[in-house]
Amino acid sequence: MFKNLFLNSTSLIIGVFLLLFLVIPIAQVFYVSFLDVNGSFTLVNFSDFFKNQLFIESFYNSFYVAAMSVVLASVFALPLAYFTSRFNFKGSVIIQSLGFIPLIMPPFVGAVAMKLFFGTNGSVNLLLDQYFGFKIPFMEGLNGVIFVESVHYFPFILINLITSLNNIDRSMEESAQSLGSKGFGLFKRIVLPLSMPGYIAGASLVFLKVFDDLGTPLLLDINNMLAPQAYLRISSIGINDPMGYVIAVILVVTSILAVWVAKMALGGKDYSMLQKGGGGMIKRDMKTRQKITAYSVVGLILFLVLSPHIALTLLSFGTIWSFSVVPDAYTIDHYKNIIFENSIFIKNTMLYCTLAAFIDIVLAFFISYIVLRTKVKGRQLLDYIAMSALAIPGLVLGIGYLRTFYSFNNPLDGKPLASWWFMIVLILAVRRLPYALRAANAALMQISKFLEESAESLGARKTTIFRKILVPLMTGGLLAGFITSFSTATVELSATIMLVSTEVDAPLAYGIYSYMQTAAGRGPGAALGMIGVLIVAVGTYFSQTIIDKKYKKTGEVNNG
Amino acid sequence: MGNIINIKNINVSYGKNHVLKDVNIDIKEKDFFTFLGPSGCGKTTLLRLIAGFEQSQSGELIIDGKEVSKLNPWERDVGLVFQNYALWPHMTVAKNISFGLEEKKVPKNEIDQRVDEVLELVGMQDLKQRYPFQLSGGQQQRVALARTIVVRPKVLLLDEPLSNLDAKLRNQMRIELLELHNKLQITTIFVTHDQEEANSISDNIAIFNEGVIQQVGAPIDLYNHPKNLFVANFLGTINVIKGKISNGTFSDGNDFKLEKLKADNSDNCSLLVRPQNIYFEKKNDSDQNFKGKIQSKEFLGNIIRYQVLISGQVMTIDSMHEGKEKIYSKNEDVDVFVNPETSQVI
Amino acid sequence: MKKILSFIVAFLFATSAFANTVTIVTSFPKDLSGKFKAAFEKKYPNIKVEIVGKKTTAGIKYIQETKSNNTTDLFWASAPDAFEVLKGDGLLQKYTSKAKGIPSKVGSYPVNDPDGFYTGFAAAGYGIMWNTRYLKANKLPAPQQWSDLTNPVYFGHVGMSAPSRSGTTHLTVETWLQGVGFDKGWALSKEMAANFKTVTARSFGVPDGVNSGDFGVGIVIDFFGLSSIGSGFPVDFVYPKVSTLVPANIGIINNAPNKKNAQLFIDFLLSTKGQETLLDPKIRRLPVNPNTYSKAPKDFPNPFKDKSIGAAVKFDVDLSKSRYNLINSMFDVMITYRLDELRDAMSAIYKAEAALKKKSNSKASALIKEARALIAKNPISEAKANDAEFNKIFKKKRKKAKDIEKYAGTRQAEVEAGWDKAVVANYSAAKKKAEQALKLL
Repeated sequence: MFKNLFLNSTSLIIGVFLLLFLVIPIAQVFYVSFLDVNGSFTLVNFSDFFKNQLFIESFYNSFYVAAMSVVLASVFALPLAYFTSRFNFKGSVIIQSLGFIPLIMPPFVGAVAMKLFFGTNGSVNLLLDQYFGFKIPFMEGLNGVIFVESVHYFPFILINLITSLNNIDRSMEESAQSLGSKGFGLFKRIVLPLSMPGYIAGASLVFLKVFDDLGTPLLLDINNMLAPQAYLRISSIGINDPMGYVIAVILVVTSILAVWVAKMALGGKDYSMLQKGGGGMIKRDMKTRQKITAYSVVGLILFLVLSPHIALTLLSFGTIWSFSVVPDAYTIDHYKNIIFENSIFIKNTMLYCTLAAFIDIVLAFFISYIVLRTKVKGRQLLDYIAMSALAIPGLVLGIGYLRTFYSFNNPLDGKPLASWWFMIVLILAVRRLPYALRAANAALMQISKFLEESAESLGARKTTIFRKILVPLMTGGLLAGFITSFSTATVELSATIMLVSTEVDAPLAYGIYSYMQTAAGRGPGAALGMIGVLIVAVGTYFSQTIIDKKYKKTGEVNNG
Repeated sequence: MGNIINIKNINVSYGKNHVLKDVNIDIKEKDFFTFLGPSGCGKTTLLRLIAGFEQSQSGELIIDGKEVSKLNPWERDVGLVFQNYALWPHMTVAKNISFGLEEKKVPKNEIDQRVDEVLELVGMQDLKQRYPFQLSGGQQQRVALARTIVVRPKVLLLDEPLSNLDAKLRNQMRIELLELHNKLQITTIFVTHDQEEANSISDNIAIFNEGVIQQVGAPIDLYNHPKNLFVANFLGTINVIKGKISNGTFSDGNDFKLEKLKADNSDNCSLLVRPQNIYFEKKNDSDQNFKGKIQSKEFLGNIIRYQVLISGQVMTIDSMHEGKEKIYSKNEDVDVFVNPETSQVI
Repeated sequence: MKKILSFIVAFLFATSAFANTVTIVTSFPKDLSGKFKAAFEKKYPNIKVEIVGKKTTAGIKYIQETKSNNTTDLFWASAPDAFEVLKGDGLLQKYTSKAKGIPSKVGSYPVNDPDGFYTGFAAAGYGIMWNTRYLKANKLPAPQQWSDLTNPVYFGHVGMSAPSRSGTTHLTVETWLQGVGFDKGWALSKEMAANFKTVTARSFGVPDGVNSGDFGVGIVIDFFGLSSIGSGFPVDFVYPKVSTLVPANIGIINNAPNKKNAQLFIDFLLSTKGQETLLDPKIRRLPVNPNTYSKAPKDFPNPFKDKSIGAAVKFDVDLSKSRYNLINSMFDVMITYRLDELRDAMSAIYKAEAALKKKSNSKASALIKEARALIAKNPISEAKANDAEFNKIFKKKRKKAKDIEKYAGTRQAEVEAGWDKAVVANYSAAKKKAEQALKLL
């Protein structure tokens, strides 16, 4: 009796949470977009959208930028994944760790930094102009957005691709070789199709992320894309302008469509399940000439994808950087400024993201348990709703929160609930829940059901089982979920920019954004960005070592 | 018929781990040749070496008169069938099979024809458009075979191809493999750890242990005339009695003395007798009589296996179960007979 | 766990622990508000300043929506029209500071609200800033007047932000329209815009672009230019003739919970210390106390001495207020979102004009004139733009949420789509005419 009561009430609480903080805000957005001037149902707002050249163009641009970012990100990710999984290549470790670093920096910060490197009069073009007399429009118009986004998000493709390449049984390749296949033909006909599921998963994630990114186009002054249009409409014309909501709906529908298309493209073929051995691809030694090519390709790509960090480092230590290849001089004043005067952003981010990630793993733990281990009614729905946050643009969720919670006042201070700082925590938690949920699912699936059943047969109650059996065994997976949620939450801007009402409550990404709006703020903003990157990198590193240790320990138990 | 494969003084080691030691084998054309040994003995490594997936530190590998050690797998003209079949999950049966022909730039119409032929050969015509995950284990096995033989390799390499099948299917596939070999006359190298499988299918067997070839020969020769204890034990149950031999008489130092053996004098040797070569009644004139006591019996269907204490040592005796023979019970004293001609000293 | 919880609890109550506070809603950046907060708290250690940063429009809405349970003491922002809105809604209370030495006018604009509801504490004007390294590298002259920016040599070198994005930019555009007339003002705007590299979504995007050398010349509010100079960037700034000085203001909210502190804060802003704080290199706004300029760095503009700054235009704040959103919308439709088409058409005209200089041809000359007229053509007349009824379509409803849904959005989108069509047609017709002219030459 107790067992069912506990599980049912837990499911109910989670359901209500998701309803309040995910479903209703989104539904609000949809609802408003279908209202006419008298408050009754209409499609006229959508017809306005499709009649307006600017919106059509924005839609096209957003789509184009997202698609091209996938292409460019693939260009970055493919050689890296290929070299690491294919050859005995000393750079592999560097690639795998450095390749992930772009993810822990807000893309719009990267935009500022990359403008200094690759802009019309950035370092690269100044040098090109000086020595060769021409410039390359890396950052002109949509190019800039594509460039910045693909540099930022290519790790999604890289991670998925490397994982799926490592899952390919080596006999897949050997049997082809034995039948006379070799080199690129082999890669094209066997390796590529087999790694497709991983690639498509990564690529669709990149598409989604780029499609809904707000900060980057905003900082690059690109207005004619959907996310900036929605933001500009709502922040200039007002929270009640229906076009903002219509754009939000178009964003959601397109995102969901993209996920659906990706799923169709896979046709339900997840090859990893069908292969028995694994063990990754055959690794070969490289010949000298291959080595030179590989190292220069990898070097160039690493330079490109790490250029935001290099430029940001220079900026954070530089005094004045204007129309010159590097800053005029260097100083540590910006860091002093941040640490002694404005550490509030860092504190806020630590607090918000820790809370959000904590909420995430608690929710993820119970959702995955309910879905995988119980027969609670509607459990599958719980999973779908939680995962659907992945396809909901942050901006749309932010708009939904404003809409839903603005009219309620917070009993603590009487101000609108939407401006309460804890709402930022909640929106971050909802946005990052899918990451934690994925990690929790993976962790729970590895634990044999018998472990719980044997405890149950010894008279243990559910709570005891959670506390003494599941949580300890899932620590590694939950911690991984925590880190992913935490580190990706630190760079979130799209959702939070709509909700931050006072600077005291602002998280790091917002702090950097507002710093970047003053002449003297570029240096401190960059320093703030660097500190953020460092915190997340160090945190991730330590947690990774904890996970590794934990994994080894439980691994021994499981094998023994 | 000449040799199609010559393996000469092959050595393979991974770091300190010496996996293959001075291996020498010659394989005749059209032979069905088996590498047999316990797991970790190096048999699969040698197979993969022939296929081109492993490198030897020293030695020569000659296929059809050509030294191939330095050639890539795709240049060797050998076909390897993997233990897990390694069918490409993103291709249909037909696509899997036509892959090798396409790589060899065989004309389209010929590809179609050969794919159909080989599908018929393995009895899979109707499943042409299926994907591997829609097939049973045995069907996958047939496709894997078809995929390899369709390119008509000089040598067909089979890496424990039957180990993933259940017992009944394994026997059936064994027969099919043999029929296929008879039809196609392709030199085939078969790797297995199952001695019964090896005996039933092979023309010749090489027995491996710890990276060293123990003995090469036809199954019956190996069974009857093992060169060492490992081979003797590996190819079925055998009684081993330690002792010495002088002037054709073996003695275990106690009561057991077998005369009229054809063997050189030795102070430290073993007498090997298969359980079916010890009888409870005299069958030949040259049989020699010993006293024994039944320790236990085991009913195995076609035979009854007794453990009998003879001269302080427990020996295994298999007696055919014909229905009318005498059944002995525990602690019963019995006469047993051993023939020096079916016994071997090593 | 317990630690986290206690932290949360501490955090929750930390902000309300100070009873003696003054809460300020402001659109100013941290560089400015933070400096004043620190200076004020130093002078009055027992008063805590709480800064609530919001964009001007959001700040207005915030104060309107929280009026029943008001917690805000002061509204502190640039644009006078924002204060006019609050004043019109009866959300401000009168206060006249006792501070001495503040003149009644800066440029041609009164420093304080004549009715006493809000107080000017600094002046801001609009002008042109440029990157000296950039101009040198591209061999461009430093511009002095708005009309200089219509020169084809600046093609692709100028940046400006959209008036719909920033109240300060809006005032710049309104100054042009009032300074040279509605139609001429738009023509000037579009001719300058033809040389734009970009129209930024953020007002700071312009000084940022000039500072980093992304483009050479920017149309900005003075403190962006001055604070960039103050931060050490190789940039310079000038006030063109057609310019207005407008005071940045502060006003006390009607039922301010800490009225006394609010008054103290206004007095502090106008005090010698407060006025000098405006000269901080990261702030650099024009003080309203003329005596403060004696402490200013060399070359710091002084509107009380240099009468050319901001004196030419008599800025009509009521007119500006009445058509605020409509002007923004016109700018966006004609310039922000159709910058590529505009640039295409104008560069065709530039080419034709360059050819015309070498060879005269009356027909070509006429065609070019027509083309320029097409560029200048507005989708609506000045009379319509000033029509109060028509402007209602563009009004941001600042009442209750329910009223807003009734009128907002849809019709504005309709009107804008119509304008967009006309504008695109005009630009492409202008381009065709210019190309025809070029063929004749």
